[in-house]
Amino acid sequence: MAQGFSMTRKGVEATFERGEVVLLRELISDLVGRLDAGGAATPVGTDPLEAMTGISSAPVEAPVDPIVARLLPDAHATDKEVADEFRRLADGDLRASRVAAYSAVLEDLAAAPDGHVKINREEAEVWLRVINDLRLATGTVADVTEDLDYTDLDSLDPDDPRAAFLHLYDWLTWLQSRLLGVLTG
Amino acid sequence: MSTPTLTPERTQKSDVEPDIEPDVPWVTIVWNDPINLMDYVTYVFQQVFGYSKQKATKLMLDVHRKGRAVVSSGGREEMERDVIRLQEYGLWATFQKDNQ
Repeated sequence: MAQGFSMTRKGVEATFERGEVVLLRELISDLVGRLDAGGAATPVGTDPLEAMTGISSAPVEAPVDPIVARLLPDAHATDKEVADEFRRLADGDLRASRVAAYSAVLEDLAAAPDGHVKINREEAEVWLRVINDLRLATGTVADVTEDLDYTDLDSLDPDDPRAAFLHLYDWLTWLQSRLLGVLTG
Repeated sequence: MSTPTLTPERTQKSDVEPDIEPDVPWVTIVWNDPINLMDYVTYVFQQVFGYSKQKATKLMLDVHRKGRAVVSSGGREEMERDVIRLQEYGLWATFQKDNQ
């Protein structure tokens, strides 16, 4: 079992088992793929201004992928035009900043000898956001609702496709709570 | 449920007075969702807005209990920036005119 995060004199530390390192790496890489797949209608590189600013010159579609849709929700609750305009302006930057955060955590994992991660506070804040995104992703797939009862986890039919994601979600929730405790303690 | 705004009663309309739409502020709203932890939402409000833990906790509880809450107000561009920052943290944030 992972020790979870703790604050030491050297900074924020955590020890992950090999399987957990692989899991985190795969979950994060999956999100990188989902965010890179969509994005601005205009391919990056064809419009120099767009490449510089991250702002699309063409309309940007709302994401079809339910995970990406949760990470990048409509910015206006009722006015689709306003929501679409916001997406055109912000979508590039929002995706890029997430992918940068994911890359940073992947690097921290790659640099961790035997799964022992040592990071500073600033890096730990990036981990917090990334773990939250992983919870959003797994929670969306597992169709988590407000009244999720964790005691039900063990009674889940193992053939239920949501079961695996709920277990992941549960673990990530614990991990995030530990990290939050360290950052706010 | 957004913060109620009081509109002054017009008791007399002058024909000379041009119709000026009052300068409507914009607001940023955070919506409740079943995934984000309460402690996390509180933490995000402190990080993004610099609110005290007390104020951030109150806003988080508003979101949680009422389904949504106004977390900041100001000009449109300012609200768009707030939405970007909140969405970067994975919160379900939108913006709109205050009188909607």
